[in-house]
Amino acid sequence: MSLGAADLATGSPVGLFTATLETRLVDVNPAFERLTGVSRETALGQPLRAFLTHASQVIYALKVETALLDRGRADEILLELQRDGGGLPVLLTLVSASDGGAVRHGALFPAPERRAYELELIAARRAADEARDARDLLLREVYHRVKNNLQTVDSLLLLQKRGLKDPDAVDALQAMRQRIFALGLVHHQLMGSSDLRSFDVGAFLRELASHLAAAARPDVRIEVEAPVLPIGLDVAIPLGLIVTELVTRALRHSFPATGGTVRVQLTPDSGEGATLRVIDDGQDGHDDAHAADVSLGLSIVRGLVGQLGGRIEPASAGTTAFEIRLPLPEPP
Amino acid sequence: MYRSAVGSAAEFHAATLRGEGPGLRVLLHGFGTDQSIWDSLLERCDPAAPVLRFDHMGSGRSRAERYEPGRYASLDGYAQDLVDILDELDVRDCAVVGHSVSGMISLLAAERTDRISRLVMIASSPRYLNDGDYVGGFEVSEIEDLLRQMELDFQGWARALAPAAMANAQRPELGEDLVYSFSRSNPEILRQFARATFFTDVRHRLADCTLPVLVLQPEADVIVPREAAAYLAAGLPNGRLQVLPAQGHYPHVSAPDVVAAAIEAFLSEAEAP
Repeated sequence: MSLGAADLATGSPVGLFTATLETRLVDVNPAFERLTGVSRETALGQPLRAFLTHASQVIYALKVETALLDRGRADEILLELQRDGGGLPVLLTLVSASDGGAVRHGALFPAPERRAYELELIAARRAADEARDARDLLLREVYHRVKNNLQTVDSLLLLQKRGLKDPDAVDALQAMRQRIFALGLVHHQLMGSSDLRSFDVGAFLRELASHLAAAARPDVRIEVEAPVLPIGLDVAIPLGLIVTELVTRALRHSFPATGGTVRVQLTPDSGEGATLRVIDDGQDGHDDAHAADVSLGLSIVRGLVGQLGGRIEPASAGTTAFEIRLPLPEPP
Repeated sequence: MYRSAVGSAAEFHAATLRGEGPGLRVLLHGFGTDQSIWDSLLERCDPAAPVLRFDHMGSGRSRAERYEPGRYASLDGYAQDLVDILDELDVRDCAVVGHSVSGMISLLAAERTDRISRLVMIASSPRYLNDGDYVGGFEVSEIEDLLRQMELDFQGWARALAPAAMANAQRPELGEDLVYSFSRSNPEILRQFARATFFTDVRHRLADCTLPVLVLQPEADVIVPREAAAYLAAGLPNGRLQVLPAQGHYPHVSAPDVVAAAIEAFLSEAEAP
């Protein structure tokens, strides 16, 4: 037994129809009757949009009309058929006759799952947006509190320092305050960061340098050369502390009599790394009286460089320089 | 070819200017389309007349990252965009042809600038909601239903809107990526545009517009009932209604000859002393 075109249309589970160029119905199949709830006799001659909800008639005008005018066809437009008890979601595909005749062929696919799926998607998107907003708020709040707590620690150290007479103890507390400032500055940068995860290393180092310079002799300058490069918390904390230690060390020991310049240079390598140099043009004035403090600072640097997976290159002869090669992974 | 300055309002709205001299025509696309909707009409209009087109915020090649929810919560933000662009280009004595919601956008812009001297509104309505005896065509629940359906077919809108904006014959694969990034922002902006459009009511502002206005209304339009178009023309002190023998909400695309003839007749008449 062979099946003809009429059998195809009759048995089709998809609503099929032919229509004029103005999309008035010329013929419909039984599935079309079932979907719309309208008999063939009633449907013929009516515009297709008459079977849509009012809102879907607008969508029809906005999307189907323009698509037909523009491309001569409209594909899988989600619309709702007017049925008792609400709209029945369908996907409409409408094409012009392949022979260029004044007929359009159309198909209506029932799409209740599609609507359910879209509703789930909307709910999931909303939930994700809300969760992200809540997380951002919380993170900002945490950064803020950490920064405030570090400021409190700093205030306590300042109070403690005022009561001390021993210059070594005063120096030690002052060095500790600089380290705490570096930590606080990282959290300050994170608070203002748009993604709450990374910030520009150049701006960070410049702000750190300007704070360190405020405590230095007025004739010593600190210059920062760093690219615009995002770094995250994991890199910023050790990097900030390393720079603090090395700059503080240079300020303390390299300029006993005259001023000069300390240069902080961060140069990205070709790979995922960078070279940090802290160079000064002062004299290499290692003062034995500060040996214990110096060795603490340097052991902190060694520890942090190790934590970052970097290595300290031997200083070039004749200059007071530190050269540290650091991996700089992309912020998470 | 005119190139808009970087960082200008014209650039943010992908403005294109054809020709130069007096008698500028500004063509404003309606909801859910972009400036390319005017192509077939332009082929039939006076080729000597200079024409300025641009894309509304969130449509076409406009810069969606410039979107500010507050500014575009009502049609006033869209009207200010038009004013900003006219100011920037120091346009004088122009005619604004607006389709659908852009009829009202041009009306609001004309309140804010004296650079506009004539208006043509195609399939425009001063209010879409019914109100007592006023026939806007929709109940609030139907508009809410429309906004819900738009949200439901988020990707569908993105797909429907994107190709015109993103067409790139040399690198079609570029389209795919752009469609995705586009689909994250523009449909949502468009939905807000729909909200601003369908809940607008400028009936109380019609009497203040003394410019000559031609209201072109297609015979059959699902979105704007004939009564609303008649109300619009009657409420404008110098308004005139012309019903076009055209079907659907886009007569400038479906019947460009008729629309072009109506516009040319109106503009030549308005230019006469």
